[in-house]
Amino acid sequence: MFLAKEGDSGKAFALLATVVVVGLAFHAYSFIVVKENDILSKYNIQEYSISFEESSLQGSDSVLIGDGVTETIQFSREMINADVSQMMARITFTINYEETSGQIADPCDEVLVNIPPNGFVADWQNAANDLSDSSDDCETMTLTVFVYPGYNGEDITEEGQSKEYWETMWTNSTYGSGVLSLEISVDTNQPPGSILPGATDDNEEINVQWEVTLFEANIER
Amino acid sequence: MKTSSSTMAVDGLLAVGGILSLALGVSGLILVKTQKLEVIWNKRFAAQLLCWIFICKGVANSLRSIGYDTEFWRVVLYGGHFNDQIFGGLILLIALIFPVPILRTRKQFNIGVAVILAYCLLMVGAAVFMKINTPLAAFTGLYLIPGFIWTLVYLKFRFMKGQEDNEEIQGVADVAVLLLVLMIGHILFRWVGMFAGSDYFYFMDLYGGNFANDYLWSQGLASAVIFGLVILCGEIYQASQGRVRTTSYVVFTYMAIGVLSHIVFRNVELFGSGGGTFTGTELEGLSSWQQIWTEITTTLHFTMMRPILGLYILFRYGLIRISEDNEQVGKATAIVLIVVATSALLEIVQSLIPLTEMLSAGILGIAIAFGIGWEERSFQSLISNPLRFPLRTKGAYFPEVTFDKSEYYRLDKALTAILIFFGFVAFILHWSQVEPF
Repeated sequence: MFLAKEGDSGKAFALLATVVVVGLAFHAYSFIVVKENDILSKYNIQEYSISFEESSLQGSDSVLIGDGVTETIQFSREMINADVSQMMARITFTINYEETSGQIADPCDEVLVNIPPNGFVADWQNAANDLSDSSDDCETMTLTVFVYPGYNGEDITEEGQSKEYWETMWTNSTYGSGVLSLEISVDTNQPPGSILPGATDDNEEINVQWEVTLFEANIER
Repeated sequence: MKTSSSTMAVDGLLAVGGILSLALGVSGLILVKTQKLEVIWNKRFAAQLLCWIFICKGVANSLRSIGYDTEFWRVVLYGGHFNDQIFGGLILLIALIFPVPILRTRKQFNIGVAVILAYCLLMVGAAVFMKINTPLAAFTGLYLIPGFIWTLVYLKFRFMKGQEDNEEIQGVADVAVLLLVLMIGHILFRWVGMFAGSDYFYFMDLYGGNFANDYLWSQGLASAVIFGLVILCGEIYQASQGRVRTTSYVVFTYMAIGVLSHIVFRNVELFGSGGGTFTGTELEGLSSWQQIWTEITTTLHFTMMRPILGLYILFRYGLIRISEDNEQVGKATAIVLIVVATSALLEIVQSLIPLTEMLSAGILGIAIAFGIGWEERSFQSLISNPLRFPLRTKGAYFPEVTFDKSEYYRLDKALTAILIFFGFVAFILHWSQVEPF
């Protein structure tokens, strides 16, 4: 009690006590009356049903690649004009070619396609990724990169956390940022008459079609 | 309700902060024990208690840095909780004797210690035999009582008529403000939320799931905000009179960060953040910018500012007197703090900007070299002229009480025994597979 009264006859003590009582009364009103329902509702484990609206964008490109040469086709989100609210689920590349040399009995060239797992933020550890393929019989090759981790297109139900938490979880636009490279190498197979002048096979035209699957998450409590 | 099985990320910063606190606490105790110069009783006890506060926080933070995703999660949970309860009791005891003793005689001091010990035992007993989130085990009054005392000391000494330029008088107000900031600085980063009715303030809880417990905890945070605002108003008035002190800038900075934090967090629901740093799962609900803001505000306060403020208070206000006998230990303490604080700062920078190991090692080396170079001069200025309290002019505030050296040592022994005992209790609870919630 000495400290309370000494020096100023208890004025500072009275002032501080009043401010504290008023402040704590305001806090009690806010906590017990205004925010009560919010605070009680946070104890209940909320269920959130998360559904996905899927769409896709396609495009194509073709490139003439010389014998023994590796060309790179680059792909980025900026190229596809997707809405900012749309997240990238996966990218599928379909690569096809024919023997176009026009030489008689010219066998299909050998084409190797590969997506290096860097430069682009994606779910590179996903076991379903198909990052390389090769063909020497003009068969169509398909490569797939899963971009958004955990997304498989099926509706899910989650427990706990908040709506904002799950919205943040499914709107991370970091996934799909950067530049994805598709490397294509061609190794031509010469026709039987390649020793004749003008009968060589020096290059091949490779057609690449891409399809980007996009999604938007809808979260309901 | 959060359950014990919730996973939390292993927190490197919390570990570094824990080591920093431990280093300060242990080396501070060595300094107190080896000092030859005489120190007034309440400063001497306050020095010991401050060191023990840092030891408790060091142990608690080191334990929590392991995370709960371990077989020994009960040890982490109960060990951290018990150390925080001792921390709460020690803070209360410091407030009762320093800077101005409320306990003014040996008898009052002994009764005060006994009551606080009983209070701590009651809280620990409730956590052990009831549930850890029961209101009895809550930290009721942790911020309210010490905060009230220090704010009252601030008001009395800062506004003492005719003493506006008296360094000794103003020094008492300064140390009261610094102790308050050390204790509740992280809550001042959320002060706007209390008045704006924001979830990020009202949803702060210790363990959740118990309305009464959450209310008591939130009430403590509210009291911290009130004390912060009282001091802010006081400092604004003093500034308007042209009397700005270094501590004024500390208060202005913390409160200004509180305003900015409201802009950052105003639309966020944060659960179970306690008032301090966020754990891994809680951080996942924040945007990257909000995570960065958390790191450079609350995390920085916990890991670096608390030990640095502690060191400053210990040396600047003469709680530990440095002479030739213990100068080397004092310097070693300062260097250890600089090295660990630098690595904590680098840890924060590294979490914001990914650096290669080589680069971070290089930066760490340069920072430590600068730090140690700086240490020589700043250490001298810190210890050379410690601020004295106005014992001659305002002696009535500072009663003389004589304690034997063995009584100071007894406090250390008692606290060592209490820490070991509570640690053992945490292990017993682990072996007994107790369900805390």
